[in-house]
Amino acid sequence: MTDSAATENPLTVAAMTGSVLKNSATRASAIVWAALVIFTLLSFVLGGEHVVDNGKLAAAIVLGIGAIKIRLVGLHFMELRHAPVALRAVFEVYCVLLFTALMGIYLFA
Amino acid sequence: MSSADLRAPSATVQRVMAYSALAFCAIYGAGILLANFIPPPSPDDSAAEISAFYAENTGRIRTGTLLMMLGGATMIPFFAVLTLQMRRIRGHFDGLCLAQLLAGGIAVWVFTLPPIIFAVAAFRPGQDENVTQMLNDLGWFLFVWNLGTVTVQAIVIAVAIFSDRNPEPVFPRWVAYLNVWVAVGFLPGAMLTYFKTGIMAWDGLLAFWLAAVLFFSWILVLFWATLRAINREAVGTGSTQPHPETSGVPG
Amino acid sequence: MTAEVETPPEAKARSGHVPGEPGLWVFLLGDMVVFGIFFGTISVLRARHTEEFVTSQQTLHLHWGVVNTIILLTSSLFVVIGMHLARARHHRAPLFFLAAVVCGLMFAGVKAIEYTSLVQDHHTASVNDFYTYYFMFTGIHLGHVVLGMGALLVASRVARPTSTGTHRMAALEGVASFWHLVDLLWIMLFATLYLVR
Repeated sequence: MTDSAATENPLTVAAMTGSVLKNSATRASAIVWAALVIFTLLSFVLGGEHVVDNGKLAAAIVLGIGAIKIRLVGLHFMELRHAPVALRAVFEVYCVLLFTALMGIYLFA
Repeated sequence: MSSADLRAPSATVQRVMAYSALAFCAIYGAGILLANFIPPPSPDDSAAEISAFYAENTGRIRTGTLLMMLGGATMIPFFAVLTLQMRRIRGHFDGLCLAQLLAGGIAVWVFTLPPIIFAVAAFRPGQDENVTQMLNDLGWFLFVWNLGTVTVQAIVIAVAIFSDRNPEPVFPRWVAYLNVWVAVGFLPGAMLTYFKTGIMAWDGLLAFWLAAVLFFSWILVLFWATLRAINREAVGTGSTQPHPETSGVPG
Repeated sequence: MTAEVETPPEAKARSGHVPGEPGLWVFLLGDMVVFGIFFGTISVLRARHTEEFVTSQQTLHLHWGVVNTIILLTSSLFVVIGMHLARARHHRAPLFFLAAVVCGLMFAGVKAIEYTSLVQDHHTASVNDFYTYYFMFTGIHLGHVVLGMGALLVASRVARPTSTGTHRMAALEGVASFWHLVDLLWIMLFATLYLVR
């Protein structure tokens, strides 16, 4: 197949575009994934394995990490970073409210 | 719309039929409150406690359930006009419309039967406590454990809205998603048969309160969407009003 | 005849793109609210019956919980990559959606192991409120996982480079968003059930 024929074939173009995409966008997503996994292990160690003695601090860390992870999934995986401000705002408010409510219940209920 | 199709009532009549949903919320809601059913008596209460509840609230329960019984019937015109508007999605009166009509008709009975049972429980003060408790149990099961038909109705409506291929959808698509959410949200209530306390009991956070909020939100959204569809039909080309060119203009 | 003016990227970013379609977010946000009630309920139980809560919590398989969290996070990454590839009509796009389905199966498998182990140790849903909530809420979540897997299977077909349709990307985005929701809900479910003590 000649060069020009190869570049004219839409699937080849797509494949080439795909490999370009696969490098930059995928790398960003993989970084987010790695952060999420690290956060998971962190909350497991700090919250689950009694490393932190103070119960309230441990709860704050676990719930806080949970809220951060949720925000990462929403903004990066669900692509809410590129969503209309209103939708993104609702989501961000949800994350804050969730953390506040659960922490409040832990402390005061 | 085919001319062999049934002739729809005028927009004004349809609007009145739609508003009956608000009448339902007002009358039925007032009845529930009057009967002192908010919050519901606990399934964990003893027969003595339930009998005492009926003895202390006899008048309220009798009048409240009367309102509920009448209020339930006000949903008949609403579900009928909802079906009429759904027909505009499908182009003709098809299986989905029939399913909706069927589910709506059953739903009216779902609303109407429990208050009748509660009224019977309150009918003879001084009867055997266990009889009162069992009638109360029966009423609450009918009132709260009825998610089968309502869930199916919501799914039918969602499917119909999703299937809309008209250039201007009769109902906004988010209404379909709301119906899906409502249908899913009703499902936990199925577990109330296993619980006498907690969030899954008939007076619990999930089985009762969440279901109640979802239910009334659902009715109000359906009301709004149906009214909107009626109004749009009235100004659009598929109008139920006389065509301007034939409305008595000379020549 | 005027030339077609392309929306400059900055303007596009300002107005924003709703993943899937706006109506879908009624359902997704609604689900987040309902699960938020679940998380709150778990937390209230912990606050009111702390000893019983913590004792029961310790019979849970924390390590399996961590494994499941990582499984779902990975499945979400697969879906994200699948979306990128689908946009470029890359032939490997369907593969990544299927990989996410495999993760879903693994998740379900782990839950089956956990459930079986708990039941064998006589920690059933009727023993106390903690176990009721555990089985109920992880069960409802598992139902979402199963639904999501079905949607991902359909998505893997739509993600093929040769598939057509005006709403191809919107449909894929919708399925992807639902799967990320499933991931997101598990994150807090795991935290409140397994970790907070």
